Amino acid sequence: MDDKFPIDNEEQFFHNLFVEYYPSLCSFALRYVGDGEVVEDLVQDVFVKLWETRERWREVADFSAYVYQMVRYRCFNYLRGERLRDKAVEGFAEEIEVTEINGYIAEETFRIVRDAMQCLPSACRKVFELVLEGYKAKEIAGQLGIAEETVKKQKQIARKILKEQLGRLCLFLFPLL
Amino acid sequence: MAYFERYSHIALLLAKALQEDLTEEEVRELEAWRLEDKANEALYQSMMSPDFVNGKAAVHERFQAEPAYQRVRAVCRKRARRRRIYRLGGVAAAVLLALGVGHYVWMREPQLDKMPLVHEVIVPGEAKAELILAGGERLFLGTEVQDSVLKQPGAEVHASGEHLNYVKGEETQEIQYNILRVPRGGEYTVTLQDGSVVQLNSASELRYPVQFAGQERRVFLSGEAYFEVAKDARHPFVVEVGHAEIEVLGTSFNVYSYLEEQKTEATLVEGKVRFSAGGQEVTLSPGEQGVWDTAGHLDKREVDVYPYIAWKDGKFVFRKRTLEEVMRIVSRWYNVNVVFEDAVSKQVSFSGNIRRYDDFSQVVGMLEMTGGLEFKIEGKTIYIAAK
Repeated sequence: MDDKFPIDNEEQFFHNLFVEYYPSLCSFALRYVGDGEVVEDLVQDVFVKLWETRERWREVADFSAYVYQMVRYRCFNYLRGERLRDKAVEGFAEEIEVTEINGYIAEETFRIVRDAMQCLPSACRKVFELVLEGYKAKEIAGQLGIAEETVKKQKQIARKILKEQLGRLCLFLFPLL
Repeated sequence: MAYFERYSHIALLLAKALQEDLTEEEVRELEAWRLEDKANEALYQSMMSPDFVNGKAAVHERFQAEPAYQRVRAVCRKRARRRRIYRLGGVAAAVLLALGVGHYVWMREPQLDKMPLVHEVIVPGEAKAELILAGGERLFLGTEVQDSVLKQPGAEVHASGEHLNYVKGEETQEIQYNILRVPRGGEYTVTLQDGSVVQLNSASELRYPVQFAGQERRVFLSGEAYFEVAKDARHPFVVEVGHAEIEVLGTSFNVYSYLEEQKTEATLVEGKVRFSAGGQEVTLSPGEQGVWDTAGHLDKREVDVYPYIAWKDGKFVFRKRTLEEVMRIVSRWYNVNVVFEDAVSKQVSFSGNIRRYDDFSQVVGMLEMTGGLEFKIEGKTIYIAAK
Protein backbone atom coordinates (compact mmCIF):
# COMPACT_ATOMS: atom_id res chain seq x y z
CA MET A 1 0.00 0.00 0.00
CA ASP A 2 1.32 3.39 -0.88
CA ASP A 3 0.26 6.89 -0.05
CA LYS A 4 -1.70 7.35 -3.26
CA PHE A 5 -4.50 5.47 -1.67
CA PRO A 6 -4.40 6.05 2.02
CA ILE A 7 -6.95 3.98 3.86
CA ASP A 8 -5.42 4.35 7.27
CA ASN A 9 -8.45 6.26 8.30
CA GLU A 10 -10.98 3.63 7.38
CA GLU A 11 -13.98 5.61 8.38
CA GLN A 12 -12.97 8.60 6.31
CA PHE A 13 -12.18 6.40 3.37
CA PHE A 14 -15.50 4.61 3.68
CA HIS A 15 -17.39 7.86 3.79
CA ASN A 16 -15.64 9.20 0.72
CA LEU A 17 -16.18 5.97 -1.12
CA PHE A 18 -19.83 6.02 -0.21
CA VAL A 19 -20.47 9.57 -1.33
CA GLU A 20 -18.56 9.02 -4.51
CA TYR A 21 -20.13 5.74 -5.55
CA TYR A 22 -23.58 5.65 -4.04
CA PRO A 23 -25.55 7.38 -6.82
CA SER A 24 -23.63 5.52 -9.52
CA LEU A 25 -24.18 2.17 -7.91
CA CYS A 26 -27.87 2.88 -7.44
CA SER A 27 -28.15 3.92 -11.03
CA PHE A 28 -26.29 0.77 -12.06
CA ALA A 29 -28.54 -1.43 -9.90
CA LEU A 30 -31.64 0.05 -11.53
CA ARG A 31 -30.82 -2.02 -14.58
CA TYR A 32 -31.45 -5.19 -12.64
CA VAL A 33 -34.04 -4.10 -10.14
CA GLY A 34 -36.42 -1.49 -11.45
CA ASP A 35 -37.60 -0.20 -8.10
CA GLY A 36 -35.60 2.80 -6.85
CA GLU A 37 -36.39 2.15 -3.21
CA VAL A 38 -35.34 -1.47 -3.37
CA VAL A 39 -32.22 -0.44 -5.21
CA GLU A 40 -31.23 1.88 -2.39
CA ASP A 41 -31.70 -0.89 0.14
CA LEU A 42 -29.59 -3.28 -1.87
CA VAL A 43 -26.76 -0.83 -2.41
CA GLN A 44 -26.80 0.01 1.27
CA ASP A 45 -26.56 -3.69 2.06
CA VAL A 46 -23.48 -3.84 -0.10
CA PHE A 47 -21.87 -1.00 1.79
CA VAL A 48 -22.62 -2.65 5.11
CA LYS A 49 -20.92 -5.72 3.75
CA LEU A 50 -18.04 -3.64 2.48
CA TRP A 51 -17.57 -2.08 5.90
CA GLU A 52 -17.62 -5.44 7.59
CA THR A 53 -14.92 -6.77 5.32
CA ARG A 54 -12.74 -3.69 5.58
CA GLU A 55 -9.73 -5.74 6.60
CA ARG A 56 -9.67 -6.98 3.04
CA TRP A 57 -9.82 -3.64 1.25
CA ARG A 58 -6.12 -3.65 0.71
CA GLU A 59 -6.33 -6.85 -1.23
CA VAL A 60 -8.73 -5.44 -3.76
CA ALA A 61 -6.95 -4.61 -6.98
CA ASP A 62 -9.70 -2.55 -8.56
CA PHE A 63 -12.08 -1.11 -6.03
CA SER A 64 -14.41 0.31 -8.58
CA ALA A 65 -14.99 -2.96 -10.41
CA TYR A 66 -15.20 -4.71 -7.05
CA VAL A 67 -18.07 -2.65 -5.69
CA TYR A 68 -20.02 -2.81 -8.93
CA GLN A 69 -19.63 -6.55 -8.90
CA MET A 70 -20.83 -6.71 -5.33
CA VAL A 71 -23.89 -4.68 -6.26
CA ARG A 72 -24.53 -6.92 -9.22
CA TYR A 73 -24.37 -9.97 -6.97
CA ARG A 74 -26.65 -8.42 -4.43
CA CYS A 75 -29.21 -7.59 -7.10
CA PHE A 76 -28.98 -11.07 -8.44
CA ASN A 77 -29.53 -12.62 -5.05
CA TYR A 78 -32.44 -10.33 -4.47
CA LEU A 79 -34.01 -11.28 -7.77
CA ARG A 80 -33.50 -14.93 -6.98
CA GLY A 81 -35.47 -14.55 -3.83
CA GLU A 82 -38.16 -12.55 -5.55
CA ARG A 83 -38.49 -14.59 -8.68
CA LEU A 84 -37.44 -18.02 -7.68
CA ARG A 85 -38.71 -19.58 -10.82
CA ASP A 86 -37.70 -17.06 -13.37
CA LYS A 87 -35.14 -18.80 -15.46
CA ALA A 88 -33.91 -15.63 -17.07
CA VAL A 89 -32.55 -14.68 -13.68
CA GLU A 90 -30.86 -18.00 -13.09
CA GLY A 91 -28.49 -17.52 -15.95
CA PHE A 92 -27.06 -14.22 -15.13
CA ALA A 93 -25.11 -15.08 -12.01
CA GLU A 94 -22.02 -16.29 -13.69
CA GLU A 95 -21.89 -14.93 -17.18
CA ILE A 96 -21.52 -11.20 -17.33
CA GLU A 97 -23.08 -10.01 -20.53
CA VAL A 98 -21.86 -7.26 -22.80
CA THR A 99 -24.84 -5.13 -21.84
CA GLU A 100 -23.93 -5.47 -18.19
CA ILE A 101 -20.33 -4.56 -18.81
CA ASN A 102 -21.47 -1.60 -20.83
CA GLY A 103 -23.79 -0.63 -18.00
CA TYR A 104 -20.78 -0.66 -15.74
CA ILE A 105 -18.73 1.36 -18.21
CA ALA A 106 -21.46 3.98 -18.61
CA GLU A 107 -21.89 4.42 -14.85
CA GLU A 108 -18.19 4.50 -14.20
CA THR A 109 -17.53 7.01 -16.94
CA PHE A 110 -20.12 9.35 -15.55
CA ARG A 111 -18.81 8.88 -12.04
CA ILE A 112 -15.27 9.65 -13.12
CA VAL A 113 -16.33 12.75 -15.01
CA ARG A 114 -18.48 13.98 -12.17
CA ASP A 115 -15.81 13.28 -9.64
CA ALA A 116 -13.09 14.98 -11.62
CA MET A 117 -15.32 17.99 -12.01
CA GLN A 118 -15.60 18.38 -8.25
CA CYS A 119 -12.05 19.71 -8.42
CA LEU A 120 -12.89 22.55 -10.75
CA PRO A 121 -13.30 26.08 -9.44
CA SER A 122 -17.01 26.79 -9.37
CA ALA A 123 -17.16 29.29 -12.25
CA CYS A 124 -15.14 26.96 -14.34
CA ARG A 125 -17.30 23.97 -13.39
CA LYS A 126 -20.51 25.76 -14.30
CA VAL A 127 -19.11 26.42 -17.74
CA PHE A 128 -17.93 22.89 -18.22
CA GLU A 129 -21.20 21.36 -17.04
CA LEU A 130 -22.96 23.32 -19.71
CA VAL A 131 -20.40 22.18 -22.27
CA LEU A 132 -21.13 18.58 -21.35
CA GLU A 133 -24.84 19.28 -21.53
CA GLY A 134 -24.28 20.15 -25.16
CA TYR A 135 -24.38 23.92 -25.17
CA LYS A 136 -22.20 25.95 -27.51
CA ALA A 137 -19.83 28.61 -26.19
CA LYS A 138 -22.13 31.36 -27.43
CA GLU A 139 -25.16 29.92 -25.68
CA ILE A 140 -23.22 29.44 -22.47
CA ALA A 141 -22.03 33.02 -22.60
CA GLY A 142 -25.65 34.11 -22.99
CA GLN A 143 -26.87 31.93 -20.15
CA LEU A 144 -24.22 32.94 -17.67
CA GLY A 145 -24.05 36.55 -18.80
CA ILE A 146 -20.34 36.45 -19.51
CA ALA A 147 -18.26 37.09 -22.60
CA GLU A 148 -17.81 34.30 -25.11
CA GLU A 149 -14.06 34.74 -24.72
CA THR A 150 -14.35 34.09 -20.99
CA VAL A 151 -16.30 30.92 -21.67
CA LYS A 152 -13.55 29.67 -23.95
CA LYS A 153 -10.92 30.57 -21.40
CA GLN A 154 -12.78 28.77 -18.60
CA LYS A 155 -13.15 25.77 -20.86
CA GLN A 156 -9.40 25.71 -21.34
CA ILE A 157 -8.73 25.94 -17.64
CA ALA A 158 -11.24 23.20 -17.01
CA ARG A 159 -9.58 20.95 -19.57
CA LYS A 160 -6.20 21.50 -18.02
CA ILE A 161 -7.35 20.68 -14.50
CA LEU A 162 -9.39 17.70 -15.63
CA LYS A 163 -6.43 16.37 -17.52
CA GLU A 164 -4.41 16.35 -14.34
CA GLN A 165 -7.32 14.86 -12.43
CA LEU A 166 -7.81 12.05 -14.89
CA GLY A 167 -4.10 11.44 -14.94
CA ARG A 168 -4.21 10.89 -11.21
CA LEU A 169 -7.28 8.73 -11.62
CA CYS A 170 -5.24 6.28 -13.64
CA LEU A 171 -3.34 5.66 -10.47
CA PHE A 172 -6.48 5.61 -8.38
CA LEU A 173 -8.05 2.93 -10.50
CA PHE A 174 -5.14 0.61 -10.04
CA PRO A 175 -3.89 1.59 -6.62
CA LEU A 176 -2.12 -1.64 -5.87
CA LEU A 177 -0.52 -2.47 -9.14
CA MET B 1 -15.33 -14.98 -18.34
CA ALA B 2 -15.49 -11.26 -18.55
CA TYR B 3 -15.07 -9.18 -15.45
CA PHE B 4 -15.64 -5.54 -14.86
CA GLU B 5 -12.05 -4.77 -13.94
CA ARG B 6 -11.00 -5.49 -17.48
CA TYR B 7 -13.11 -2.55 -18.57
CA SER B 8 -12.22 0.02 -15.93
CA HIS B 9 -9.75 1.66 -18.25
CA ILE B 10 -12.42 1.92 -20.96
CA ALA B 11 -14.51 3.99 -18.57
CA LEU B 12 -11.51 6.20 -17.97
CA LEU B 13 -10.89 6.59 -21.68
CA LEU B 14 -14.54 7.48 -22.24
CA ALA B 15 -14.37 10.04 -19.47
CA LYS B 16 -11.38 11.54 -21.19
CA ALA B 17 -13.20 11.43 -24.52
CA LEU B 18 -16.12 13.32 -22.98
CA GLN B 19 -13.67 15.97 -21.88
CA GLU B 20 -11.92 15.83 -25.24
CA ASP B 21 -8.67 14.89 -23.66
CA LEU B 22 -7.55 11.77 -25.49
CA THR B 23 -4.06 11.17 -26.79
CA GLU B 24 -3.73 9.58 -30.20
CA GLU B 25 -2.83 6.28 -28.66
CA GLU B 26 -5.88 6.42 -26.42
CA VAL B 27 -8.07 7.19 -29.41
CA ARG B 28 -6.80 4.01 -31.05
CA GLU B 29 -7.39 2.02 -27.89
CA LEU B 30 -10.93 3.28 -27.68
CA GLU B 31 -11.48 2.52 -31.34
CA ALA B 32 -10.37 -1.04 -30.83
CA TRP B 33 -12.95 -1.40 -28.07
CA ARG B 34 -15.65 0.17 -30.24
CA LEU B 35 -14.95 -2.33 -32.98
CA GLU B 36 -15.10 -5.26 -30.59
CA ASP B 37 -18.88 -5.32 -30.41
CA LYS B 38 -21.77 -3.48 -32.00
CA ALA B 39 -23.10 -2.79 -28.52
CA ASN B 40 -19.85 -1.01 -27.66
CA GLU B 41 -20.13 1.29 -30.63
CA ALA B 42 -23.76 1.98 -29.77
CA LEU B 43 -22.78 2.78 -26.20
CA TYR B 44 -20.02 5.09 -27.38
CA GLN B 45 -22.41 6.97 -29.65
CA SER B 46 -25.01 7.37 -26.94
CA MET B 47 -22.43 8.50 -24.40
CA MET B 48 -20.98 11.17 -26.63
CA SER B 49 -24.37 12.79 -26.88
CA PRO B 50 -25.30 15.41 -24.27
CA ASP B 51 -28.35 13.30 -23.42
CA PHE B 52 -26.06 10.89 -21.65
CA VAL B 53 -24.70 13.39 -19.15
CA ASN B 54 -28.10 14.97 -18.65
CA GLY B 55 -29.85 11.65 -18.24
CA LYS B 56 -27.35 10.33 -15.72
CA ALA B 57 -27.38 13.58 -13.78
CA ALA B 58 -31.16 13.30 -13.47
CA VAL B 59 -30.96 9.73 -12.21
CA HIS B 60 -28.28 10.68 -9.70
CA GLU B 61 -30.54 13.38 -8.30
CA ARG B 62 -32.77 10.64 -6.98
CA PHE B 63 -30.08 9.01 -4.89
CA GLN B 64 -28.88 11.20 -2.07
CA ALA B 65 -25.71 9.86 -0.56
CA GLU B 66 -25.56 11.58 2.82
CA PRO B 67 -28.82 10.35 4.39
CA ALA B 68 -28.15 6.90 2.97
CA TYR B 69 -24.68 6.95 4.51
CA GLN B 70 -26.15 7.69 7.93
CA ARG B 71 -28.46 4.70 7.61
CA VAL B 72 -25.60 2.44 6.61
CA ARG B 73 -23.47 3.56 9.53
CA ALA B 74 -26.34 2.90 11.92
CA VAL B 75 -26.77 -0.61 10.57
CA CYS B 76 -23.04 -1.27 10.77
CA ARG B 77 -22.91 -0.21 14.40
CA LYS B 78 -25.91 -2.33 15.29
CA ARG B 79 -24.52 -5.37 13.55
CA ALA B 80 -21.09 -4.94 15.09
CA ARG B 81 -22.74 -5.53 18.44
CA ARG B 82 -24.39 -8.78 17.58
CA ARG B 83 -22.30 -10.16 14.83
CA ARG B 84 -21.52 -13.79 14.84
CA ILE B 85 -18.71 -15.14 12.82
CA TYR B 86 -17.87 -18.67 12.07
CA ARG B 87 -14.20 -19.08 11.77
CA LEU B 88 -12.27 -22.23 11.72
CA GLY B 89 -8.62 -22.92 11.46
CA GLY B 90 -7.81 -25.73 9.07
CA VAL B 91 -6.22 -28.63 10.87
CA ALA B 92 -7.50 -27.98 14.35
CA ALA B 93 -11.00 -27.81 13.01
CA ALA B 94 -10.66 -31.03 11.11
CA VAL B 95 -9.66 -32.75 14.31
CA LEU B 96 -12.55 -31.27 16.22
CA LEU B 97 -14.95 -32.24 13.51
CA ALA B 98 -13.63 -35.73 13.53
CA LEU B 99 -14.46 -35.82 17.20
CA GLY B 100 -17.93 -34.72 16.32
CA VAL B 101 -17.85 -31.55 18.33
CA GLY B 102 -17.21 -29.27 15.41
CA HIS B 103 -19.89 -26.77 15.14
CA TYR B 104 -20.19 -25.94 18.79
CA VAL B 105 -16.62 -24.82 18.80
CA TRP B 106 -16.89 -22.64 15.72
CA MET B 107 -18.73 -19.98 17.49
CA ARG B 108 -16.42 -17.43 18.77
CA GLU B 109 -18.80 -15.69 21.04
CA PRO B 110 -19.94 -17.67 24.01
CA GLN B 111 -23.63 -16.77 24.32
CA LEU B 112 -24.93 -19.88 22.61
CA ASP B 113 -28.47 -19.36 23.77
CA LYS B 114 -28.79 -16.01 22.07
CA MET B 115 -27.59 -17.16 18.69
CA PRO B 116 -29.81 -18.89 16.23
CA LEU B 117 -28.01 -21.96 15.01
CA VAL B 118 -27.36 -22.19 11.34
CA HIS B 119 -29.81 -24.98 10.74
CA GLU B 120 -32.71 -22.95 11.98
CA VAL B 121 -32.33 -20.81 8.94
CA ILE B 122 -30.87 -23.15 6.38
CA VAL B 123 -32.46 -26.52 5.86
CA PRO B 124 -31.80 -29.17 3.27
CA GLY B 125 -34.12 -29.57 0.35
CA GLU B 126 -37.23 -31.71 0.53
CA ALA B 127 -39.86 -33.14 -1.74
CA LYS B 128 -41.67 -30.25 -3.27
CA ALA B 129 -42.73 -29.21 -6.71
CA GLU B 130 -45.32 -27.41 -8.68
CA LEU B 131 -47.37 -29.14 -11.33
CA ILE B 132 -48.60 -26.97 -14.14
CA LEU B 133 -51.41 -28.42 -16.17
CA ALA B 134 -52.11 -27.89 -19.83
CA GLY B 135 -54.65 -25.21 -19.01
CA GLY B 136 -52.15 -23.30 -16.89
CA GLU B 137 -53.62 -24.42 -13.59
CA ARG B 138 -51.00 -24.84 -10.85
CA LEU B 139 -50.91 -27.45 -8.14
CA PHE B 140 -48.43 -27.50 -5.32
CA LEU B 141 -46.97 -30.84 -4.45
CA GLY B 142 -45.12 -31.78 -1.32
CA THR B 143 -44.93 -34.33 1.43
CA GLU B 144 -48.20 -33.06 2.85
CA VAL B 145 -50.07 -33.95 -0.35
CA GLN B 146 -51.16 -37.54 0.13
CA ASP B 147 -52.95 -39.67 -2.40
CA SER B 148 -54.74 -37.18 -4.52
CA VAL B 149 -55.89 -38.19 -7.95
CA LEU B 150 -56.31 -35.93 -10.89
CA LYS B 151 -57.93 -36.90 -14.16
CA GLN B 152 -56.59 -35.46 -17.36
CA PRO B 153 -57.31 -36.48 -20.93
CA GLY B 154 -55.17 -39.56 -21.55
CA ALA B 155 -54.00 -40.27 -18.02
CA GLU B 156 -54.81 -40.24 -14.38
CA VAL B 157 -52.30 -38.55 -12.15
CA HIS B 158 -51.70 -39.86 -8.66
CA ALA B 159 -49.80 -37.61 -6.31
CA SER B 160 -48.49 -38.99 -3.07
CA GLY B 161 -45.76 -37.43 -0.98
CA GLU B 162 -42.71 -37.14 -3.11
CA HIS B 163 -43.98 -38.96 -6.15
CA LEU B 164 -46.23 -38.23 -9.08
CA ASN B 165 -47.52 -41.14 -11.09
CA TYR B 166 -49.19 -41.01 -14.51
CA VAL B 167 -51.42 -43.97 -15.17
CA LYS B 168 -52.46 -44.38 -18.76
CA GLY B 169 -56.10 -43.82 -19.47
CA GLU B 170 -58.02 -43.96 -22.72
CA GLU B 171 -56.17 -43.26 -25.94
CA THR B 172 -56.55 -39.68 -26.91
CA GLN B 173 -55.70 -37.67 -29.98
CA GLU B 174 -55.20 -34.50 -28.06
CA ILE B 175 -51.69 -34.24 -26.65
CA GLN B 176 -51.59 -32.27 -23.47
CA TYR B 177 -48.41 -31.24 -21.76
CA ASN B 178 -47.75 -30.94 -18.06
CA ILE B 179 -44.83 -29.16 -16.48
CA LEU B 180 -43.26 -30.36 -13.27
CA ARG B 181 -41.25 -27.57 -11.76
CA VAL B 182 -38.99 -28.17 -8.80
CA PRO B 183 -37.77 -25.06 -6.98
CA ARG B 184 -34.40 -24.52 -5.37
CA GLY B 185 -34.35 -26.59 -2.23
CA GLY B 186 -36.67 -29.19 -3.71
CA GLU B 187 -36.62 -32.58 -5.40
CA TYR B 188 -39.38 -34.66 -6.89
CA THR B 189 -39.95 -37.88 -8.78
CA VAL B 190 -42.42 -38.54 -11.53
CA THR B 191 -43.40 -41.76 -13.26
CA LEU B 192 -44.49 -40.93 -16.75
CA GLN B 193 -47.35 -42.63 -18.50
CA ASP B 194 -44.97 -45.06 -20.30
CA GLY B 195 -43.49 -46.19 -16.98
CA SER B 196 -40.27 -44.20 -17.24
CA VAL B 197 -39.18 -42.75 -13.94
CA VAL B 198 -37.65 -39.31 -13.77
CA GLN B 199 -36.08 -38.01 -10.60
CA LEU B 200 -35.77 -34.23 -10.69
CA ASN B 201 -33.18 -32.34 -8.72
CA SER B 202 -33.50 -28.81 -7.34
CA ALA B 203 -34.18 -25.89 -9.65
CA SER B 204 -35.20 -28.18 -12.46
CA GLU B 205 -38.14 -28.44 -14.76
CA LEU B 206 -39.55 -31.21 -16.90
CA ARG B 207 -42.19 -30.79 -19.57
CA TYR B 208 -43.83 -33.93 -20.87
CA PRO B 209 -47.03 -35.12 -22.50
CA VAL B 210 -49.68 -36.60 -20.26
CA GLN B 211 -49.88 -39.42 -22.75
CA PHE B 212 -47.16 -40.23 -25.24
CA ALA B 213 -48.30 -40.38 -28.85
CA GLY B 214 -46.56 -40.72 -32.18
CA GLN B 215 -43.18 -42.17 -33.05
CA GLU B 216 -41.16 -40.95 -30.14
CA ARG B 217 -41.46 -40.16 -26.49
CA ARG B 218 -40.16 -36.64 -26.19
CA VAL B 219 -39.71 -34.66 -22.99
CA PHE B 220 -38.08 -31.31 -22.28
CA LEU B 221 -35.71 -30.71 -19.41
CA SER B 222 -33.86 -27.89 -17.80
CA GLY B 223 -31.73 -28.49 -14.74
CA GLU B 224 -30.84 -31.96 -13.56
CA ALA B 225 -32.68 -35.25 -13.67
CA TYR B 226 -32.00 -38.94 -13.44
CA PHE B 227 -33.91 -40.98 -15.99
CA GLU B 228 -34.82 -44.64 -15.87
CA VAL B 229 -36.45 -45.08 -19.21
CA ALA B 230 -38.92 -47.88 -19.77
CA LYS B 231 -37.89 -50.10 -22.68
CA ASP B 232 -39.83 -49.59 -25.85
CA ALA B 233 -37.69 -50.13 -28.93
CA ARG B 234 -40.36 -48.81 -31.26
CA HIS B 235 -40.72 -45.50 -29.53
CA PRO B 236 -37.38 -43.89 -28.77
CA PHE B 237 -37.29 -41.69 -25.71
CA VAL B 238 -35.86 -38.23 -26.37
CA VAL B 239 -34.78 -35.72 -23.77
CA GLU B 240 -34.51 -32.27 -25.20
CA VAL B 241 -32.25 -29.92 -23.25
CA GLY B 242 -31.79 -26.52 -24.74
CA HIS B 243 -30.36 -27.09 -28.18
CA ALA B 244 -29.18 -30.60 -27.43
CA GLU B 245 -31.06 -33.85 -27.35
CA ILE B 246 -30.47 -37.26 -25.93
CA GLU B 247 -32.14 -40.18 -27.59
CA VAL B 248 -32.51 -43.52 -25.88
CA LEU B 249 -34.30 -46.80 -26.20
CA GLY B 250 -34.36 -48.08 -22.64
CA THR B 251 -31.73 -47.12 -20.16
CA SER B 252 -30.65 -45.19 -17.06
CA PHE B 253 -28.78 -41.95 -17.28
CA ASN B 254 -28.32 -38.59 -15.68
CA VAL B 255 -28.74 -35.25 -17.41
CA TYR B 256 -27.17 -32.18 -15.91
CA SER B 257 -28.05 -29.02 -17.74
CA TYR B 258 -28.34 -25.88 -15.66
CA LEU B 259 -28.16 -22.61 -17.51
CA GLU B 260 -25.55 -21.26 -15.10
CA GLU B 261 -23.27 -24.27 -15.59
CA GLN B 262 -23.02 -23.46 -19.28
CA LYS B 263 -22.86 -27.06 -20.30
CA THR B 264 -25.04 -30.09 -20.64
CA GLU B 265 -23.75 -33.38 -19.30
CA ALA B 266 -25.33 -36.71 -20.03
CA THR B 267 -23.89 -39.52 -17.93
CA LEU B 268 -24.85 -43.02 -18.88
CA VAL B 269 -25.33 -45.72 -16.27
CA GLU B 270 -26.71 -48.47 -18.46
CA GLY B 271 -27.97 -49.04 -21.97
CA LYS B 272 -27.06 -46.85 -24.89
CA VAL B 273 -27.90 -43.29 -25.76
CA ARG B 274 -27.32 -40.97 -28.64
CA PHE B 275 -26.43 -37.44 -27.63
CA SER B 276 -26.70 -34.88 -30.37
CA ALA B 277 -26.23 -31.15 -30.38
CA GLY B 278 -25.16 -28.48 -32.83
CA GLY B 279 -25.11 -30.92 -35.72
CA GLN B 280 -22.71 -33.23 -33.88
CA GLU B 281 -23.45 -36.58 -32.36
CA VAL B 282 -21.88 -39.03 -29.94
CA THR B 283 -23.05 -42.43 -28.85
CA LEU B 284 -22.57 -43.18 -25.19
CA SER B 285 -21.96 -46.52 -23.56
CA PRO B 286 -22.23 -47.17 -19.84
CA GLY B 287 -19.57 -45.26 -17.92
CA GLU B 288 -19.33 -42.61 -20.57
CA GLN B 289 -20.34 -39.01 -20.39
CA GLY B 290 -21.18 -36.63 -23.19
CA VAL B 291 -20.54 -32.96 -22.59
CA TRP B 292 -21.94 -30.18 -24.72
CA ASP B 293 -20.67 -26.75 -23.82
CA THR B 294 -21.81 -23.30 -24.80
CA ALA B 295 -18.80 -22.91 -27.04
CA GLY B 296 -20.37 -25.56 -29.22
CA HIS B 297 -18.15 -28.53 -28.47
CA LEU B 298 -19.64 -31.94 -28.01
CA ASP B 299 -17.21 -34.35 -26.40
CA LYS B 300 -17.30 -37.80 -24.95
CA ARG B 301 -15.24 -39.07 -22.05
CA GLU B 302 -15.05 -41.95 -19.65
CA VAL B 303 -16.04 -41.13 -16.12
CA ASP B 304 -16.62 -42.70 -12.77
CA VAL B 305 -20.39 -42.50 -12.93
CA TYR B 306 -21.06 -42.50 -9.22
CA PRO B 307 -20.30 -38.85 -8.38
CA TYR B 308 -22.70 -37.77 -11.11
CA ILE B 309 -25.66 -39.79 -9.97
CA ALA B 310 -25.09 -39.95 -6.21
CA TRP B 311 -27.52 -37.10 -5.67
CA LYS B 312 -30.43 -39.36 -6.50
CA ASP B 313 -29.46 -41.58 -3.58
CA GLY B 314 -29.17 -38.68 -1.21
CA LYS B 315 -25.49 -37.88 -1.42
CA PHE B 316 -23.27 -35.23 -2.80
CA VAL B 317 -20.10 -36.81 -4.07
CA PHE B 318 -17.43 -34.45 -5.25
CA ARG B 319 -14.20 -35.47 -6.93
CA LYS B 320 -11.80 -32.63 -7.50
CA ARG B 321 -14.48 -30.09 -8.24
CA THR B 322 -13.77 -26.41 -7.83
CA LEU B 323 -15.41 -24.80 -4.85
CA GLU B 324 -17.35 -22.63 -7.25
CA GLU B 325 -18.98 -25.68 -8.83
CA VAL B 326 -19.52 -27.31 -5.47
CA MET B 327 -21.23 -24.26 -4.07
CA ARG B 328 -23.51 -23.92 -7.06
CA ILE B 329 -24.67 -27.46 -6.51
CA VAL B 330 -25.00 -27.11 -2.75
CA SER B 331 -26.76 -23.76 -3.00
CA ARG B 332 -29.46 -25.16 -5.24
CA TRP B 333 -30.25 -27.81 -2.69
CA TYR B 334 -30.09 -25.73 0.46
CA ASN B 335 -31.52 -22.74 -1.34
CA VAL B 336 -28.83 -20.41 -0.12
CA ASN B 337 -26.97 -17.65 -1.84
CA VAL B 338 -23.25 -17.89 -2.16
CA VAL B 339 -20.97 -14.93 -2.46
CA PHE B 340 -17.32 -15.45 -3.23
CA GLU B 341 -15.38 -12.52 -1.98
CA ASP B 342 -12.32 -13.23 -4.05
CA ALA B 343 -11.40 -15.16 -7.13
CA VAL B 344 -8.92 -17.43 -5.34
CA SER B 345 -11.46 -19.20 -3.15
CA LYS B 346 -13.59 -20.11 -6.18
CA GLN B 347 -10.78 -22.19 -7.56
CA VAL B 348 -10.09 -24.23 -4.44
CA SER B 349 -10.39 -27.90 -5.34
CA PHE B 350 -12.67 -30.03 -3.22
CA SER B 351 -13.19 -33.76 -2.90
CA GLY B 352 -15.52 -35.35 -0.42
CA ASN B 353 -18.90 -36.90 0.28
CA ILE B 354 -21.74 -35.09 1.95
CA ARG B 355 -25.13 -36.46 2.85
CA ARG B 356 -27.80 -34.40 1.18
CA TYR B 357 -30.12 -34.49 4.15
CA ASP B 358 -27.48 -33.31 6.57
CA ASP B 359 -27.66 -30.11 8.44
CA PHE B 360 -26.08 -27.28 6.52
CA SER B 361 -23.54 -26.60 9.25
CA GLN B 362 -22.08 -30.04 8.60
CA VAL B 363 -21.69 -29.21 4.96
CA VAL B 364 -19.86 -26.03 5.85
CA GLY B 365 -17.69 -28.06 8.20
CA MET B 366 -16.72 -30.43 5.41
CA LEU B 367 -15.89 -27.60 3.09
CA GLU B 368 -13.87 -25.77 5.69
CA MET B 369 -11.67 -28.80 6.10
CA THR B 370 -10.08 -27.90 2.81
CA GLY B 371 -8.43 -25.19 4.89
CA GLY B 372 -7.52 -21.67 4.02
CA LEU B 373 -11.10 -20.58 3.65
CA GLU B 374 -13.44 -18.61 5.82
CA PHE B 375 -17.18 -19.15 5.63
CA LYS B 376 -19.45 -16.56 7.05
CA ILE B 377 -23.15 -17.13 7.20
CA GLU B 378 -25.62 -14.30 7.34
CA GLY B 379 -29.21 -15.34 7.01
CA LYS B 380 -29.35 -17.36 3.83
CA THR B 381 -26.20 -15.97 2.32
CA ILE B 382 -22.83 -17.65 2.62
CA TYR B 383 -19.79 -15.47 2.18
CA ILE B 384 -16.65 -17.33 1.28
CA ALA B 385 -13.23 -15.79 1.39
CA ALA B 386 -9.66 -16.96 1.38
CA LYS B 387 -8.00 -16.42 4.74
